[in-house]
Amino acid sequence: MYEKYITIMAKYGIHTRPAAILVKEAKNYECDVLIECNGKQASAKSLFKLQTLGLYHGITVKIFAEGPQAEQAVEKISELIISFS
Amino acid sequence: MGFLSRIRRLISGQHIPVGGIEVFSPLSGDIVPIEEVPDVIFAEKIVGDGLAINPKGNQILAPIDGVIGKIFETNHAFSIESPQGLELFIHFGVGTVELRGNGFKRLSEEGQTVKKGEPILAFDLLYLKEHAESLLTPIVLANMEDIRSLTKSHGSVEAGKDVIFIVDL
Repeated sequence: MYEKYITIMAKYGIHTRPAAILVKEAKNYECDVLIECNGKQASAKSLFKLQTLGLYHGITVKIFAEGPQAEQAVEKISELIISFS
Repeated sequence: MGFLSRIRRLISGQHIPVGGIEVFSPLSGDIVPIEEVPDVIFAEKIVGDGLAINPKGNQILAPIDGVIGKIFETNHAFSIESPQGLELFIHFGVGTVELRGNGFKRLSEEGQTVKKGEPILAFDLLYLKEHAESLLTPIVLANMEDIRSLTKSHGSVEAGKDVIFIVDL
């Protein structure tokens, strides 16, 4: 298992556009990438479930994955979240 | 995930109607191809496949019986999951997240079980015409991996009365 904690800096949080970009990227990996926020977790491959997390500005989330390319997947997804302004 | 959710639904004994599941229009207005929405995440179907509506009126209704998943804190978009496993996402206009809730009002709550045609959000069309980048409202299926086919309607539709697409799981 590989994990990383990051804080969402995007002004409007992870709303539809950034979430859709995230899902598209996560689907490139064989392993499932999970995002945990306020005790709830969801797959980064499901826009529907991702939206139920409440990924607002200023919130710290845990990104984790297990299996093939887990480290690359977590790093890439974290990088993307940090890049959203 | 698609395979597992299908199995889960089979076990739960959810009846899937012959001829597909009807999704009704959440808005009154004119159907526009999803490809014409001026936002690539919708036009290129990154969020999912579906269509858009150029809206009239002042309310967004539940397009299907189901449970409301998420209502955005800015009240411009929501998701709903039907018992058969459709995950629908409705996003009013383009660039509306930036209005910070102005022009929208919540009429239902997250996690609420609703019937087709129940009002979910109210909107002020005049205000939004002036302030939103576009009024074209995408209605898409977020879990395309579970869907076998999607038959889309065309033309003018009335909220809660006309079918906008038929989904085959």
